Amino acid sequence: MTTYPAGTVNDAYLACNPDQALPPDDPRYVDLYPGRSEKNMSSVIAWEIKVSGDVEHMRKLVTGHRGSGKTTELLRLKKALENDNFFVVYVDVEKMLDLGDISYLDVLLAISTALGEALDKAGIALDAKLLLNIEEWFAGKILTRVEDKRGTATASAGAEAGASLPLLAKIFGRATAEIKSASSQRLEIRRNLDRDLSQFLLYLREFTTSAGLHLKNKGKANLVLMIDGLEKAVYKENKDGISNFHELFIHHAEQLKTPECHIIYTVPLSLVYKAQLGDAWPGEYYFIPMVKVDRPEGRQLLLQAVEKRVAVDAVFESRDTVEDFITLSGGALRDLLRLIRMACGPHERIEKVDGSAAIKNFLRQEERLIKEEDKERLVQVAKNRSVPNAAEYEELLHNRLIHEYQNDHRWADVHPAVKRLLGLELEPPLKTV
Amino acid sequence: MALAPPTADSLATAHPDFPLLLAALRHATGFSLLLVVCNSVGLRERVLDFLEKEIDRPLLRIDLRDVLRAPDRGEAIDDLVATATAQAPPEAVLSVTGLEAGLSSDEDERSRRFLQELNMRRGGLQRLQRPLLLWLPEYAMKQLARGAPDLHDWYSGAYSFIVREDHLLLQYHPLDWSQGAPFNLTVEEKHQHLETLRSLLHTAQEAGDMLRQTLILRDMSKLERSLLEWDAALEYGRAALDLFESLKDERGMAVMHGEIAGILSMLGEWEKALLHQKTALSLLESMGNLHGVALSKSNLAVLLANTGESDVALHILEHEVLPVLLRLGDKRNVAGVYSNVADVLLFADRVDEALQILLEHVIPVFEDIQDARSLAVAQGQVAYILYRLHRLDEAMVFLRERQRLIENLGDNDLLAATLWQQALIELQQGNTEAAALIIEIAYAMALEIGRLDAVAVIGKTRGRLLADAGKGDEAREVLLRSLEAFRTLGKTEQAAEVEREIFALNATQ
Repeated sequence: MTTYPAGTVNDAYLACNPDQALPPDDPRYVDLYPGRSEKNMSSVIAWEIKVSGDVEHMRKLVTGHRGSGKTTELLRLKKALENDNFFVVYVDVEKMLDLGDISYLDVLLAISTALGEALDKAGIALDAKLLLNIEEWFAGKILTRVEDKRGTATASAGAEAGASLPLLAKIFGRATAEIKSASSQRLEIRRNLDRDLSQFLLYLREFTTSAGLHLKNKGKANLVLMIDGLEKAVYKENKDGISNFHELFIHHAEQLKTPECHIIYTVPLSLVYKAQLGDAWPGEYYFIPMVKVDRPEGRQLLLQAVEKRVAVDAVFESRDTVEDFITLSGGALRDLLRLIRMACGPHERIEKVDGSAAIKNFLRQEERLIKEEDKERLVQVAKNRSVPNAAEYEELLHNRLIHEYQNDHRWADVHPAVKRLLGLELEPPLKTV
Repeated sequence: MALAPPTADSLATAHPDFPLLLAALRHATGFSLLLVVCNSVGLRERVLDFLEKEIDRPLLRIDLRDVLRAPDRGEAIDDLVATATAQAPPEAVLSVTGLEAGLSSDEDERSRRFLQELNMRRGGLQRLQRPLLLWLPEYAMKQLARGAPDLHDWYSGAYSFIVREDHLLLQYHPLDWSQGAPFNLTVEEKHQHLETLRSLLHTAQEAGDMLRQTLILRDMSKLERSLLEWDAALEYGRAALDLFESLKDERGMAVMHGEIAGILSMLGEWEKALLHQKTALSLLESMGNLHGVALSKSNLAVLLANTGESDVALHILEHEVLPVLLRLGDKRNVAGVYSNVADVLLFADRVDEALQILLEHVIPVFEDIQDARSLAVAQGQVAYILYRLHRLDEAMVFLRERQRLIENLGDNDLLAATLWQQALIELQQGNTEAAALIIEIAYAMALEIGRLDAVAVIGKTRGRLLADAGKGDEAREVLLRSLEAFRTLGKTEQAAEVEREIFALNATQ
């Protein structure tokens, strides 16, 4: 069991894991929002859901850079809502679907599967008649292979006794698995769902309505669905130049709002530049900006995040190394943690030479992300502090060569490592202490 | 030769990232993604051998090359790794190689799909809960960084183990030494001619025929130069120059100053070479030989580029050489000068411009005037640039065409260079066996022709391949020969690299 803050280089390595989202009660968590000049996402959305009561189901979009802490914040939001007696279903789309080829139908099917499983696990029984209808429809119209239908007869028989939820979840799960495995069944299932779309959407609405009602009967405040990972889908354009994200979140926004409950989707950062997004999803999306390392408060918070993990004076020969790392991270906690890991070298403490080696290797890896044709664009972003609304910049945001920040308005800058590589001037370094 | 005793530290000295990687593996528990760029199978295996010795935990080597090449492998990438890992103890470190087999150099649809898979199945790799080393060549690491950004964003460390190769490839540039028949002869033939010339020189000396002595000495210098016998080439060259001076033959003097400059540049004595080239230039200027001045300036520019004056060199070529040759309508030399411009641009890392010039101003001209040898040389330059840009398949197309031309010409010297370039590409593409076969032929040719630089450069690659194949003794012999050749040529940096290879080879045996 690791204790924090880590007092040795070895433990520091373990404490600074860049690929790990923190569980809600993790002692390493620091509220970085003051350093982002943004309100705490989990507090804001939790509050909005709570005050909305039964008047309105909140449909929220959350976005931010890769590694900006979206999953950590969603897990904290889940915990906060559960503490307020909400029934929260967290759907990790990446685990359930094929992000290389995703349609809104897949997403809705994954939601159905995850909800069925969660309700079953919690011992919540839904209306037997509704479940029977869904099973019959799904088995008759959507699943065409005999082996996929297996069990539905039993399910139908059991439905009378109100015991069919596990089987329904299983059938949904089987269809979701077919979709994920890119089998020949994928297209057929999608085609069948599409052909019978009204029926599907109606059943999904009824399913979530029934779930919400039964949950309330069990004393729960309401049902909340969190759909995480959709922003990681592979960017594609159709023959008309429309991206799959546009297709999913703008063309099919209404379908994604089908579930009758509170629902939160993560969306790619590049999509929020599309004017139509606001039309499809009225109300503001929630953006998690980077921590500003050119402000003392931001640097202080990042230092705190380090100090929660590592006993800085025990592990680092000099605090200057941490300061250099904070500057070079551009406010991306993941980069800061990565730099610390890379500096965990062969010495008793992290010496200056280890810090320099980590920075050198970090810069070398960042350089691999920069394409020749992007250099001038990056220079312009650094100069203008904004990202033009053009397709060529989407990949730069996607690969985090550009960071976005927030004051009273959103602004952007080139990642400090990239600036250094391009020979652009860095802001004079600040000290946190 | 005194070699340092085999120690584990020799690897750390040669590759500063080694102790960093070692430390990371000592620290890591659970999943930890460590990205390693490496361009040598032999070096990679040696690094792994040392890691295995130094870390107190098992290291499992997983090579996915063959399975990733299969048209339909069935299992997803994380499942493949999981299957290979099934019997390993929980604390084992995983080292995965061969991923580049799924990533072709021209980033085609198959590569795109594989990158997507890597990105999306990263959760499966993370769930293995073990430190994971991913070994990739540079071009594939770039593809991974850009095409699998979510996996890439999880990396905990990035390390680099590179054996420098590119500058060696450039050094093997036939234009510098292609201006004379001797270079096309076999070693035996060259020695035969030298013997004849020595005899003739003796006769000319006895006869007091100074002009003939001079011309014989000039030819002997060229032959010795073609044998890479620099000292002898210089000695004969200087003797010829002295005689040309006695004869007050300014044209002859200019030619010999140019020849000596060429020899000195091969020895890396750039300053002395520049002095001789400048003398040649002033002689030609004083003679009012516009054509000679232009060509001499072109050679001067190449020397300047070699001493870091790329901008000056480019200015000379573009503003002082090309206009003259264009005005004189010397199509062939215009193309030759453009070829020099491409080389100077390469020195300045302006790779794309160099490629454009070769494709637009050099290759079409040599094709047009049917100068097969110059065309072959230019194709080699293009292939080299494409190799640097990791457009390996295209580079190979140029090299195959080049090989066809050279075989028709019967030029074994150029053929050796071409085969060597092909072998490097095969290596980049992971075709070690094919590379080993080709390089064996190229090396044999280099020995036969007697080109010391080829013995050095090709021998270095061949030695490494032999070491990879477990033929330690043979590898050592070839590497020692390469080391000796680099030292003779005064290439200390390259010699040090080969020396490190030998240390590492000794250390692992």
